[in-house]
Amino acid sequence: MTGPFTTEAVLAYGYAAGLLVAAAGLDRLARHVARRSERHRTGGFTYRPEHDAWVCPADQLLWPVGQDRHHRLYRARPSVCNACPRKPDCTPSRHGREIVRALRPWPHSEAGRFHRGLALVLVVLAATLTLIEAVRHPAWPDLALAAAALAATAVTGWWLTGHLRATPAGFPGPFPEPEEKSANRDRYTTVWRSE
Amino acid sequence: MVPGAGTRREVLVSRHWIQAAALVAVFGFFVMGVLAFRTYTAGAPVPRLVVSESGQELYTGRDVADGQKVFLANGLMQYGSVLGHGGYLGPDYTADYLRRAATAALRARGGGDRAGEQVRQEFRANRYDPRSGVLTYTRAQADAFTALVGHYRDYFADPRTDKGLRPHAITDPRQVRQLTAFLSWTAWIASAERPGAVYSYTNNWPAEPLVGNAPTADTVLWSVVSLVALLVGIGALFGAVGRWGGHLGWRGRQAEAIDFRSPDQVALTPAQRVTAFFFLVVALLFLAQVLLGGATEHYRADLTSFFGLNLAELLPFNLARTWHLQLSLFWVVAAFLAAGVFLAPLMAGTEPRGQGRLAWTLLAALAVVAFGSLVAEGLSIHGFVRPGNFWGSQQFEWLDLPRVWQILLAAGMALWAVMMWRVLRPTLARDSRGNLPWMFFLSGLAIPGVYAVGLLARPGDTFAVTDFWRFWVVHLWVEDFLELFTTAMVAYMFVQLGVVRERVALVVIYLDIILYSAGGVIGTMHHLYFSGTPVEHLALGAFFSAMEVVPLTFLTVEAWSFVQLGARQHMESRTPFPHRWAVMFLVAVGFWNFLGAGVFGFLINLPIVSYYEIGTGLTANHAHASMMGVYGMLAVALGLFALRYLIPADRWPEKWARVSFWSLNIGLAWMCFATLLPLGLLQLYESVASGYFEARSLGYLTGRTNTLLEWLRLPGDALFIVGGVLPFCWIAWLGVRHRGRRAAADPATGLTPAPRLSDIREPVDTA
Repeated sequence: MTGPFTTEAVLAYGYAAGLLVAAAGLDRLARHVARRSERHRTGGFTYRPEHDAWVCPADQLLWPVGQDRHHRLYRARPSVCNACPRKPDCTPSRHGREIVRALRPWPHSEAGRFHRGLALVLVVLAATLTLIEAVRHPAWPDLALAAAALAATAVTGWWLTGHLRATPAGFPGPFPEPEEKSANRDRYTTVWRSE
Repeated sequence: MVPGAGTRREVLVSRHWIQAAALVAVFGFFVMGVLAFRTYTAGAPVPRLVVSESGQELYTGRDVADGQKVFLANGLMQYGSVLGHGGYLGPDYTADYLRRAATAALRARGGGDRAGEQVRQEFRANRYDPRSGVLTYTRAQADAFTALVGHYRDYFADPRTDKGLRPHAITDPRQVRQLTAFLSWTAWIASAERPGAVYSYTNNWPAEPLVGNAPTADTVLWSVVSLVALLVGIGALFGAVGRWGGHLGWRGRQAEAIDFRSPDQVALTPAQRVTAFFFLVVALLFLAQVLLGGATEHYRADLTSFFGLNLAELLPFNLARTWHLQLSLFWVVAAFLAAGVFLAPLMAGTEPRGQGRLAWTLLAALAVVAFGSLVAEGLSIHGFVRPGNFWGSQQFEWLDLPRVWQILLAAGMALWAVMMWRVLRPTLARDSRGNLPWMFFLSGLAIPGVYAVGLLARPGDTFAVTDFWRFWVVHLWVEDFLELFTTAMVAYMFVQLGVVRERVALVVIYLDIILYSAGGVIGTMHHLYFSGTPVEHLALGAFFSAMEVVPLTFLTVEAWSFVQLGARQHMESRTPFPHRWAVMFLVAVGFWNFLGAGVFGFLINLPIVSYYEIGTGLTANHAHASMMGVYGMLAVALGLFALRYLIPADRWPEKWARVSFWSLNIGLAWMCFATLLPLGLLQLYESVASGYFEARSLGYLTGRTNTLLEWLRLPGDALFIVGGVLPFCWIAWLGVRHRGRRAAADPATGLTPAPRLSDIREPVDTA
């Protein structure tokens, strides 16, 4: 006995609670992965919201040059980049370093979905374990623990399901051919020139 | 970029990377050489002769060796264990013998505190005379030996199958006596104190109060040191990455714009087309492996009957587990070899004549070895083969395949290395030895090389020696060399796709060598804390294997994202990225690497934890999450990568790839969290609270709580098999049915041009 509860009940509901904590941890991991993707594409660059521009490690500015539904494109002046000693580590392009801000870049979006999916599996497992234990030993003080565990599971499940819904796989479909997409700004083939 | 004939391309990375990698590897293997020497010279001795106090012969050193062969040939290492190594259903026979012998001795002395103290002293005193090679058992020990020969005779001759063993498993009285001699010897080294030390040859393992076995000062000290090493290592690594990480090259650099070729536009070489059959074999072996896994799991949930069928008569637990483990290696390695065959021409640009035929030969050889060795193991466990037979019996856990098959498998992998060399020869001739093609080839060459080291473990050798070499394969081959080779392959996959620069890929490979070799090579010794090797194996094993967790954490958080980063830059492509699910499986590899290998591995890595835990459920938890989670997912990823080009784009079963991905991952997570982890935690508690012997007893394992937890696995396992493995089989079958588009060979040279997987739209103007 542990206090008024049987040891088995404490262990079972405790493990279920542990699973909920692990699920919350996985959810955080998903968020971390998304943030990391941003950091990788913009490593060493700082965003200046007051100018809507990025500052590169060599203290040069990247200005917005284009936008579509999901992305915003920033580019530095080619003359500056081509003369920069750090260019080999920065960009292969002769047209100036560019940064694309994507709202939900794949596969980070789908990796996030993977982690959140697994987090939900743990929540389902916690619910299963709780119910099994409650059916096995339907004694009164233990059932209070079961109710608490179930309530926690329901809250975590609701919360994480919301997160999963808000995490689309985000795998992009094929891009339209250049001639077909005159309606959108073609950020892939047009070259921003300063001169 | 490529200079004229006779000159080599410059190495793409700083020479410091190469020097650091070489230095770390040389250091690791130098220490391993010293430890090998110490294993032979300071390992637990096998007496020439064991006699009673009255001078009566009990058993000889030869009996111990033969007994070990009997133990292995009957698949007992896949049922229970000795010195903690083996299966988890049966008892640990070392602990079993020790408990029974000590209890008999105690009873003979009439029980009580004084008798208990006498028994403890009797078992701890080392009466081995190294000059004459004679070990003298006390009267109580000798009587216990005689009594236990009788006990094991009845135990193994049992006509029932309710232990999971086949009926009448061992009936030859001579073999039972030899087997008991072997078990008695392991119990002796587990309790007799090393000369000049206050602990036994096995560092006081197993925990057995009757003979005064408790954790040693070294076990506790090195646990603390390795914990500190882990924390400092992680801190130092992240500090270094924060400080110099920008120089690694995969951060914040803009990639060139590329277009992926549609799988329909990719024409394949003959050997690449043969890999379709490889992946079908891989899928079928995978299916067989998981079905056998289901059978072994059923034994744990319901030992006496398989839904009314007496399965143990045909497929006893130890045979099902032997095949389950063997197949897990076979299908994963077959997938890696096939991926090598697929990728090599991409690297070289062409494929020489005859490579397709060689690929068929390799496939046939692998099929023969897989099938032949499995049959041999079945015959051995069913008692048709003499113990220690070259053709038909070996059965160390993980190195189960009999010696001849082991040699053939090494030869098959050597044939594969030759195939790699044939294709890569022109590329290797004009490239620096530090560059990617050489790294790919050398890491491939290490696969047969390190696997062959396992041949040094022979069934009749001293247990510590066999265990030392066995773990060169189980740990070092898998942990270091397969990891290295797959890193090289994955890196090259992305270089081929044009999403990762070759220099970045190369940095990742060198980083992998440095980080994994720093901890992983000497870390192999974390399997040998209690195998009869001297204490330095425990100290170095604990310290360096803690460092192993560092790269697992780091590569998950940082370097695996080079894969993700690479795949992410397909956004620049006008054509869709073809490898959605291969990349998702790689994402899963990163996740399981961290959870299964890193967290679940470290959970059982400290000597003090391992002391109570070895051979219990938490090991199975780590094994499943890391073997399937990392290597299994990786093999599936490589399979899907190749199959994408083998199946026409309009026939690609996108839906089944998704179903397989989610089912395999959910099934594995369920398996670990519903059953293996809680069961292992409870068993560890039982081991510390009640005793190791109790925690390993069938009575405990088949208790109500355990049985419930085992049944709880069923939904996850069913999902894994039906939703995960079957769709993969279907995709592999589609690969065989279509086998991609054939590229035409050049009639003059016989060379088949290798396909390009992507086209660079915006050319690179820098290296």
